[in-house]
Amino acid sequence: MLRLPVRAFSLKKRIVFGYLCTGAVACAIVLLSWGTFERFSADLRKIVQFSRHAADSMTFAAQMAEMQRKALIYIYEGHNSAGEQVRAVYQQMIGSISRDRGLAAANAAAALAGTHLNAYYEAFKEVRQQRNIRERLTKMELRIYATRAQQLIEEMTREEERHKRLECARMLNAFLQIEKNAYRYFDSLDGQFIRAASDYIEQTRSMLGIFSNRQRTADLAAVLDQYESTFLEAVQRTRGYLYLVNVVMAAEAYETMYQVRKLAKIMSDASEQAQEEVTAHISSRLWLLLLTSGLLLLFIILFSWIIIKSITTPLNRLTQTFQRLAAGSSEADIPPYPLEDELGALTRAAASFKAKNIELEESKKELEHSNDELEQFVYTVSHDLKSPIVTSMGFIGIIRKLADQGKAEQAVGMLDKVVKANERMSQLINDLLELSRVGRIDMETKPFDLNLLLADFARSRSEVLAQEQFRLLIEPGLPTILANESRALQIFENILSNALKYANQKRNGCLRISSASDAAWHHVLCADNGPGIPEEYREKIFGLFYRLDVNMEGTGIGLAVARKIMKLHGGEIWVEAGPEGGAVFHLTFPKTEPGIRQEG
Amino acid sequence: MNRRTFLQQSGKLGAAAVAAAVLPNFAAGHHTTKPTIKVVGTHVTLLEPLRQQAEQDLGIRIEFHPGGDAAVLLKAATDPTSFDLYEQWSNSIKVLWQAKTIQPIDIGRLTYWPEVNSLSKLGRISAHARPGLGDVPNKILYVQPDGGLGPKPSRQISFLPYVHNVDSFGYNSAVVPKGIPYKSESWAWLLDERWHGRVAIVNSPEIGVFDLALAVQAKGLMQFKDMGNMSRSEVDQLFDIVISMKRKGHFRGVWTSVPHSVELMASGETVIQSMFSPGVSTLKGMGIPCIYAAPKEGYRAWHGVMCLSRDCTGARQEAAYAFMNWWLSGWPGAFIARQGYYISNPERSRPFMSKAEWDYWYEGQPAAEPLQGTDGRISIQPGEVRTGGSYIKRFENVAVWNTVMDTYEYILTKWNEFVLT
Repeated sequence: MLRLPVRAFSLKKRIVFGYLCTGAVACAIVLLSWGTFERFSADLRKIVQFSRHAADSMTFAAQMAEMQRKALIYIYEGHNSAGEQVRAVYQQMIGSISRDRGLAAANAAAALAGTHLNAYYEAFKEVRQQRNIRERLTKMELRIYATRAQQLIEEMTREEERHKRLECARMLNAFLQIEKNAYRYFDSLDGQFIRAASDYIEQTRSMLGIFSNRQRTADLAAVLDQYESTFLEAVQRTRGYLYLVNVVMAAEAYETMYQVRKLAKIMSDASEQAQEEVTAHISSRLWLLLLTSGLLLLFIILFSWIIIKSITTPLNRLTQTFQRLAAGSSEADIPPYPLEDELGALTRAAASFKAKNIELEESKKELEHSNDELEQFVYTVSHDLKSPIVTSMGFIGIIRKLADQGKAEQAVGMLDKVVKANERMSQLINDLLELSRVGRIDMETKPFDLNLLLADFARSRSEVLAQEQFRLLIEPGLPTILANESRALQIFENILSNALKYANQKRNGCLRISSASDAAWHHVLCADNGPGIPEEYREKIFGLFYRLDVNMEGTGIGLAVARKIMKLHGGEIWVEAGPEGGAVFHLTFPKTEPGIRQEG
Repeated sequence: MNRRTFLQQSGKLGAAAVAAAVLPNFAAGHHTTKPTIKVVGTHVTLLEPLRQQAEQDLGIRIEFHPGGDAAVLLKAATDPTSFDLYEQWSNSIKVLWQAKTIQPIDIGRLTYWPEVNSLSKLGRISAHARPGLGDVPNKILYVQPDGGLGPKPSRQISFLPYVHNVDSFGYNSAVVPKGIPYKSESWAWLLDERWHGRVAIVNSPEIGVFDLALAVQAKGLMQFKDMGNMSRSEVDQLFDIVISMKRKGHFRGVWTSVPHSVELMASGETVIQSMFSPGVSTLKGMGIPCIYAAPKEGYRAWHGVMCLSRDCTGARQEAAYAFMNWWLSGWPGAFIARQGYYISNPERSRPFMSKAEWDYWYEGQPAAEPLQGTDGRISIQPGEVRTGGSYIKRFENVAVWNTVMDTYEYILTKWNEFVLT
């Protein structure tokens, strides 16, 4: 199936195509390998990045724990340095949390962690503020008011009458109970001490009315009010402080840690997934590379086989053909190969080789034929030339005997016989010379009107014809032919000569020249009314020195000359019997240029 | 206009006319300058449409200062000059009253006081209602002769009763099998092993502690002598249980805001958790089938309180009283009902609501038509029924009221441990 499309392309294209395909697949493998390594590199970077982010998350979690620890130190010990460290850790964390992590889920978790971290730190700032206020209230203002109240009570104790001093002592005791409960509340954070402190405040306040020094009692009532107000504010600050620490900060810390853990898990999962993807990707790409390489190998093998077959098959055929051609065969098959490539050139060379072989074979045949003809010719010539010589030598011997016998007169009388034999030999030699000239000398062709040629011919022979009482009938409408005019005329002269010798033995002989044409040929017929030519002699008469009747005058070379002329014109001459007896000579002239061969 | 809409419209007009008649308009009166009052509270009630409407109706300037629960409470408890009116939950009353940053409200100056229902005045919506534990509103409503707060009626109250509701837990019915309200739905579900790692609690100790307590008690893990006022040992026992469970990973954590609670359930990190009504509505709007449970053990209820600052006097005090009266004048109650909250004198708001709204929000009947929320968007589709039924039925099933207990500070420290475990 592959061979057909492959053979539609030239050898060069096939080879180039093969190299291009191989190169393309090799490039694909290279690209695939490059892509694999590029992806592998990117995946590795991603894994490293995810791992780094996961590590960052761990660091973040550790920082968060550290920040909480510092915050607790501040909350419980009130160390401002711890508060500042919380701020420093917060700034580090907030700087790292906002980094892009390349994953929407991770960024979302980081953003949430950042939000909660901010809320945590805002709450811590509020805690610091509340703690400061609370510290001021509990450690300064309450003490100031307590001291002032105690001073006032002590002053009242000194100023009041003795029986009221006990009430003063009770009031002082009640006031000390206020302080005691207040500080127990701040220490234990038990709400019942607030109520107890409030009760003692009311108790103290209710005792003020029994004292006589209005100014002192008014001052003490005012201090008591301030103390109560400060205490209640300190309680609320404490509660707010506790709420911020235990509820707001705790929840924000938990959510921050939760989101950080989630972030770490996302990054860790992403890293693991990336690792799995890398493994899977490398595995799949290796398989793909293996498969592609295998396919490339198969392709190269298949394509090489196709290319080799597409080259060797015609080459083998051509080799066989050339071998046969080299052996001289003209019948070797030329394998069909329509393309214009190197094999096409070889095929065409083989075809040329074959044509040459055919030509050579024909030449050989012709040569053999010529050799045969030459042998026959030599034989015939030597035989026929020998005959007058033998005759002459015979008469010369007779003459010599007659001369020896002194019969000079009889000997002289025999000289005529010798002369006649020599004249015949001379005629034979002339005719042979003429035969040899045909094709070698004066074979220029040109178109000429056969009507005019034969009309001139008839006029030139009119006297002889009249004398011989022979009619030469030339039918009108003869063609214009392309030939050597004198040689053509020679043919008709020979035909007419033969007709006069063989068809006019009883006088009233006749030779009718007519013509017919078809697409390729002009057909000229020369029909006589003689006795005709037996069929067995119809070919022989065209041989050298062949005469139907040896008693007839002539050398037997005329028709051989006619055939040679016709052959040189690319035409033919043969003889048939006429429909009413007699012989009909057929001459065919090609309508196109025959390409007359000049014979050396 | 058909008869129904005519009655509805005429009812609204009549109610509005009455309200307009009783509410002073400071701009039209003898006041030369508009007084400005500062209202500190939470985002639940400090809503811009309410502020604008009140300004328009009363002719005063009103500044809303919303903030987080703890922040605003601390502000109100420590600085009475920072507010004129304070809006929050009844569990903050003890703190504020103890801090003496708020002053008693004179019932005689409250136009709609007679209409305030028995839930606020007596602590029960009906005679059949189960007595709720903790700070039932009436126990902290009246100013007693000794200056303390108690249920005995007097002419002065510590807060204006207005917005209130019941809370429970919400669950994603795509994961948690749907239960039957008041029958199978139970606080114990919060501790169900099936939802291990997907449970969250609201990060507010005075609220969340009751969710945990109700869950632990419903699960049969412990009993409280008085859940509304736990002893230290009870607190220890409760937190031992829940901290142990948290250590095992039962709880996803705590949520710090309504959007946070929505985010947790929407992301699938939780399937069951403490919830507030707006969170449930938001999740439903997001296509998450969140059901607000009606636990058979009863709800955790809360009552909104509006308190008058100790430092609010003169024209500002007059304006503050006007604002308090405006809140009970009908329109605000109807407005807040569309957010799922109830008002203490519901009948005053009824003319400002369509029948379908009233039936859905107060009567617990299926919505007859699409109902809009406070943002104007459809929040309730026809056929929907409010979980827990009618207003009466919901408040007949109150297990405990949000309370700041005596062990509040101790609970805070235990809460810290619970959160960070």
